[in-house]
Amino acid sequence: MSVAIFGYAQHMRALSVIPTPDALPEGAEPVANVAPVDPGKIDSALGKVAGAWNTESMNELLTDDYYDKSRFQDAMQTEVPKDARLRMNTFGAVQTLQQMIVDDGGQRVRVSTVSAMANTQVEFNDPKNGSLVVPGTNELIFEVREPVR
Amino acid sequence: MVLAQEIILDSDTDFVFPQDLRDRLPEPASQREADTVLGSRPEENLVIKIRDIRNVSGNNFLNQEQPVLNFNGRVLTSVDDLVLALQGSDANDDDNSTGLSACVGSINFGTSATSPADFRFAGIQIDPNTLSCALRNDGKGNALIFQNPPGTAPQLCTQGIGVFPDRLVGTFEFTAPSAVVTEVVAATGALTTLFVRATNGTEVRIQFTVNQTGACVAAGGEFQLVVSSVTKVN
Repeated sequence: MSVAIFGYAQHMRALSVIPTPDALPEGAEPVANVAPVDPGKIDSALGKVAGAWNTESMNELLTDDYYDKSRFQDAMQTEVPKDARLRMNTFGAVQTLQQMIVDDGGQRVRVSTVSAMANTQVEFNDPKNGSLVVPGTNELIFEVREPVR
Repeated sequence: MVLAQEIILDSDTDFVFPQDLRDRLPEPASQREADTVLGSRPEENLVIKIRDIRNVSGNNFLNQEQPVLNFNGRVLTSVDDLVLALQGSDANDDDNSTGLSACVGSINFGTSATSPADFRFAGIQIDPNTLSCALRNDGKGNALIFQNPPGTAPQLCTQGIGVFPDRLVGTFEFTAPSAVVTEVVAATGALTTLFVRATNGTEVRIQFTVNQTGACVAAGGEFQLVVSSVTKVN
């Protein structure tokens, strides 16, 4: 005669966290499908940046939470030669990284985070070294706000 | 063989996602209208601003400290340094910036036990192998000695500052683009740039200003050496 022997045992199930999307800001809605921002809009924005750089208008093209924005504004006033100009050469790799809908004073606004690579050059005249061209390649992170229905 | 009856110890009825996160999950697409940008001319309502910038190479035109004088992630102190960076001679090589930068500063001229009492000196001492650097004011300085009055006749306190490598030591000598001369006479208050080359081939660019801090009297004048940059260029 066989006798089945059973042992009742309890075990602790390990807590395995299921990855979840990053929480959106308070009041924001997720979008059903991300609509990539038209690269032409980024091209236009870069043109505005080039024209506004080294002018007071540049402040309006930075978000309020741009890191150390006031320090940048001061540096533009005190450190940059008055004749210095920014030229946008090429741009590419435009990607819409994130998109959400927020309520802006009763208006639904689609807020997109877009990255783009830009090749630029700063041009200025130095009394000792003459005309200088300083190239640079940077990844710019844009905030794009569009009212939606 | 009889199988034992399964005994359910407990059941899991908790939701995977907390309620506030479930509220933010999108509804099925068929139940939502497609988001449509408003306006017959959407560009008028479009607002695009820069939130952040990440420098990949070269200049970062939105650098908060120096929008122009920066290159490859480094803030530079002068246009000359920027020119060197553009030429590929990194103005702040990792292997020398710490040592040579020790000479960026100021020192008051002093006297030398082996020179007349009215002579005043400052000096820059550089080890061409380790690139350690130190300012001194005892009449010595293998890279550069600053002397008042200069060695040029008639040797008056008011003539300016004679600058020359310590040729008794012979470690450094002037090199192009500086003229290879016995002595450079630098005017007080003027930013001066000199290039010196060590016997091991190391070339250094030194930018300095000598300020007169006391009137010229019989006992000699009072001066201060201000070094604004010392950089290895080769």
